[in-house]
Amino acid sequence: MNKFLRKLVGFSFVYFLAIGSVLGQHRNIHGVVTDTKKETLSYITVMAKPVDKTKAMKFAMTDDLGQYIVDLELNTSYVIEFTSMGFETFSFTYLVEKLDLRKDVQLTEKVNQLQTVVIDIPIVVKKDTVIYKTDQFITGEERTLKDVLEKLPGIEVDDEGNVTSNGNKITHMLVENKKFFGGNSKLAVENIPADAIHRVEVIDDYNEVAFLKGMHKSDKMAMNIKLKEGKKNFLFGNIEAGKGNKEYYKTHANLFYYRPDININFIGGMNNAGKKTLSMSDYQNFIGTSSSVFKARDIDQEKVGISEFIESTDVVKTNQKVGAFNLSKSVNKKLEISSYFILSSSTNSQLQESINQYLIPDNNYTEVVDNIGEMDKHFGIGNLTVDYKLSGMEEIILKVLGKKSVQEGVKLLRSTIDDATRVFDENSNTTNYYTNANLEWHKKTAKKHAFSFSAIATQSNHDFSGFWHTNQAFLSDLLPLVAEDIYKLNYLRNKKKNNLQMVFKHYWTISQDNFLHFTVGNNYRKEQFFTNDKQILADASENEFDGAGFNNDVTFELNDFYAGIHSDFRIGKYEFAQSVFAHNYQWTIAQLNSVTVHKWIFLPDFQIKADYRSFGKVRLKYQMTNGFTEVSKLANRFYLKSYNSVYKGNENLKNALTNSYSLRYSKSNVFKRLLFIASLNYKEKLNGIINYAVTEGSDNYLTSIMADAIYKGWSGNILISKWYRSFKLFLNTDFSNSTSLSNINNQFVENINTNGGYSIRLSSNFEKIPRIQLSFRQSFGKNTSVAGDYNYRIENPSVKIDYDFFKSYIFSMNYLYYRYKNRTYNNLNTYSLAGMKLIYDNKDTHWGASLSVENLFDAKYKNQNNYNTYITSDIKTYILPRVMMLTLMYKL
Amino acid sequence: MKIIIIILFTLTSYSLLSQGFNGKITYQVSSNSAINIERIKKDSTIKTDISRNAYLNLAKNAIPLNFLLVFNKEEANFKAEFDRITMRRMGQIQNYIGSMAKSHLVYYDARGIEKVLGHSIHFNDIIIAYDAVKWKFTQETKMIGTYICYKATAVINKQQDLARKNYIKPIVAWFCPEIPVHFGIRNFKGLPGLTMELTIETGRGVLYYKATKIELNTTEKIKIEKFKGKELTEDEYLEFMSQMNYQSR
Repeated sequence: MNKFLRKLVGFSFVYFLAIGSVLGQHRNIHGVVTDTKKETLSYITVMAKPVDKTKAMKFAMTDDLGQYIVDLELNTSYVIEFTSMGFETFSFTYLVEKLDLRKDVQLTEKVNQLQTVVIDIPIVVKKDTVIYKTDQFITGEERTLKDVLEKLPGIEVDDEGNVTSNGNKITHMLVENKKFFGGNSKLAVENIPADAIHRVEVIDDYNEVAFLKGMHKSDKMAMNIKLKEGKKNFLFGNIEAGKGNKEYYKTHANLFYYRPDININFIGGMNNAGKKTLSMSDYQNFIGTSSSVFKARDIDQEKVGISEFIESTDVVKTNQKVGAFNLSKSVNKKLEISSYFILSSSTNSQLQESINQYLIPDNNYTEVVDNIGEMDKHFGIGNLTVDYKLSGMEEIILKVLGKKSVQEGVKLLRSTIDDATRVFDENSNTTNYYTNANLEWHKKTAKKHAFSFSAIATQSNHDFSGFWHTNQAFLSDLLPLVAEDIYKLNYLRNKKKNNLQMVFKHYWTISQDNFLHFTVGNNYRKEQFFTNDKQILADASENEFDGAGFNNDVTFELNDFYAGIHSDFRIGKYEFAQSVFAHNYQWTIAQLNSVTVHKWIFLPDFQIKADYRSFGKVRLKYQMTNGFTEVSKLANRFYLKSYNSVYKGNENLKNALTNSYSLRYSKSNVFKRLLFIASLNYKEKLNGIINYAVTEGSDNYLTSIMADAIYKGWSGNILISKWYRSFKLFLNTDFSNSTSLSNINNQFVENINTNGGYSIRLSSNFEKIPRIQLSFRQSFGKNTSVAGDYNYRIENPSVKIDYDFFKSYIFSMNYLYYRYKNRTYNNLNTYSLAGMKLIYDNKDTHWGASLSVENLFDAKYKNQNNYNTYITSDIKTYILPRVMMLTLMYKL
Repeated sequence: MKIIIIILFTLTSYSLLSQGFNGKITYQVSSNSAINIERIKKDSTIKTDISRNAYLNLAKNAIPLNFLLVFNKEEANFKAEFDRITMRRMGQIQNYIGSMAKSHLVYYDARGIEKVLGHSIHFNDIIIAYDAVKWKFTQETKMIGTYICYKATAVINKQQDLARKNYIKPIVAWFCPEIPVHFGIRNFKGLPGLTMELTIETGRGVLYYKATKIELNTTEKIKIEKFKGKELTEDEYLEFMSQMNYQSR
């Protein structure tokens, strides 16, 4: 019935049109379109193209019953065309005569159906990827990836080599979709040559395990560098060598070899001009990590922080050699192997002069310390990653990382208090090993369910030993020294760490906006700490300090069994994320006596994000965390810490709970060309470990104790960024106020620390005249402690100029001035630093050259002031003199 | 950079045509900053240098945006591709291309209705009914991939809410009669075949719509959003907007 009606309506429609056309100067052509099987075809386009091209074209489409009708002008010739995807086009010529025409058409099916079209666009925005076709942004003067990235909208690179895209940090750096030196962005931005880059992709919501994408929220962001066609299957890079005044020199090479299945990178160099390819802190950042699918609550990521490694970047003499090698290979579609090795060796000399004021009630004195040191450091890192995809839904990853570092140091220290001078001479040796093996398994079983498992084993060993020579007895109340002309002390520290972690995670995607994750895990940690201090007498016999309460041998074992649930959902404008984890801790501290503690702790957190169209974005976050101390603070016998202090741990230290709250508001209004971010944070430590110091003359006895409510602090900042046509203005103001607790000479002391400051930065961006960046920072601080108030003010203006001229030349200059004023003691420190560089880099030749001057004013030292509970220090750190260097560069 | 138009079928062409079909067309909308900047510099309706600079800055940092045409046999929506991730990335940052391309509007079109309906996300209960476009068909053709596309132009002389938003040149469409999708880009419907490219020029600048992905008979569920509310003609909507602006002033 229905079909009949439709047919009727259809036919009457055709009929009325036909009548209409007979009356005017129009006729029509109508009919039914079918396929070869006589089935009617709907949606077929009928075109009537007049042979006289000045006349208008006519169109029609077949209806549900395959019928069509086209109105045509009288006495005109048309090419009538029947066309549709999947069918061969059918056409004929027709001269419109007196009568309407009925023409039934049969179309034959076409075979091929997949076609491609090529279109050119500079930025492609896909769901979670932004692709920049870099040659549309660069000017040709760029030398490294860093220069290219700075030209891309929304991307910024800081001096440490960190890359951000619209304010979010890039966490993984990839080249041709493979991790570059483990994903490190510093090596990439400074070494990948600009002319090899074809495009840059920024991948939001990045997942190392591809099929887990969409199963959880990833805050990771990756950048993938695509190379130009000619740079694939090709060796490229550059080699530099420079000679400066005096004995200064530098050599550097970056070599890259890319083939679809294999990538090889080599970075190497030697110099004595203070150029650092990798610093010791970069070295520490190379640790074995789990895939980012595991969050901080799922796996306890280890923190690296071996204090002996903290190095001053300011040196008077330096020599650095580094070689780094990266290789990735796809064995087949399922198996991928990647590996990197880094070897580094350096020698640095340092010179420091400081004045320390000890401001303890009833014990006030000033100490002048001169410090000369020379350090030899060698380190090696090796990594191997094997990634095996069993199927599109199952993946196994094995990562192995090994590190070794050796450090040898000689230090000469002269301490003068009230005309009494002591000289200490220290020889130290440090050897560290670190190995980490990580096995991960990921499987997606259904559209809404997936599982991850990870087992991580870490082992590290830290050996630290050395000798002290001094002309005077020290720490005489504690150390049973035998009187001699020159005292010779020997110390030995050994720290061993074993860690085994296992974690299992279940992802349940209830809906696109609703996730639920369950985690069960176990973390076993064993740490051993051994110390030995003794005096070596002139006759080579040993005076052990055992009897005076020295020498430790302690084992700390901690087992943490935990389970937790994490939920993530969205209601309209509001995104909620919350989790609660239950931990069952059991720890044993074994030394002369043994302590075992068993404890349950629940750790909650929550976060609410709201995104109001006109008001802005608001985020409220709360988190409770729990931390354990290191074994060296648990050892309950003395060990020497420095030339004037001795430390004793405390086996009664427990875990410490911290509550953190943060509120963040951001709003950007492009019409007002304004970006506004404000944040406010509050942190309180419910209980924790504080320093306990007993001072006796110039000697310090230190220990750690547990206390309640040891810290509370507010901090906040407001950031405003405003653009003008050729200027960008940036304002930042921050403040913090914290109260922390310590104990000095058996008296609890509150340290109140208030800091604030603001910075202003103005940068110009003209195309033809030099780009200038002016910045100024002023900060104020006030500390209140046992020693009374301590007020200071810092002013720090700087200028940067960049100028590209004559197409192949680049001139750059930077200047920095630092002024420190202590208003309590009325002392003033200033220094200024400047550098200049002229580069010649012609695109058409392989050769380039540069002339640079560092430390233009030949400043001798930098001045700094420090403050801690009862000591204020005024430190002069000597730096490298003026270095002028001429460098030749060859691009492969 | 190469963008590949992928045309996907999940069924054979025979059943595609006999059953009527659904689909999703992805358009990338790009622009020419140089032209836009020129227009902004010459625009006398911009009163202050502050706002001129704001527009210039916006035009310089414009990012291409994707729009989707989703349809079933009877009806269609045309809207910006604003999924959660895109929104998070774009944040509150305004995009000149998005603003020129009216990314705040969702369009509804159905077989049998003459007017295309538009719904702004700013007003819940107001619907704009756009008049049909009078196309002028030419016999000029070009190949997009292996498809022959025909050029059609239309003069749009309807007043817009701001003088600089008026169309200063006829809009130019390239459509493919072979792909029988009769819903258009925005309110520019009425072409006998899929619109593959569309160029529109207003006093603010130029916009290029290009089809980058054509998915026909997808297994993906196509949901068409219908609007409820008061229907206004374009002129009535202008009136309404100017009242709103008056109130906010």
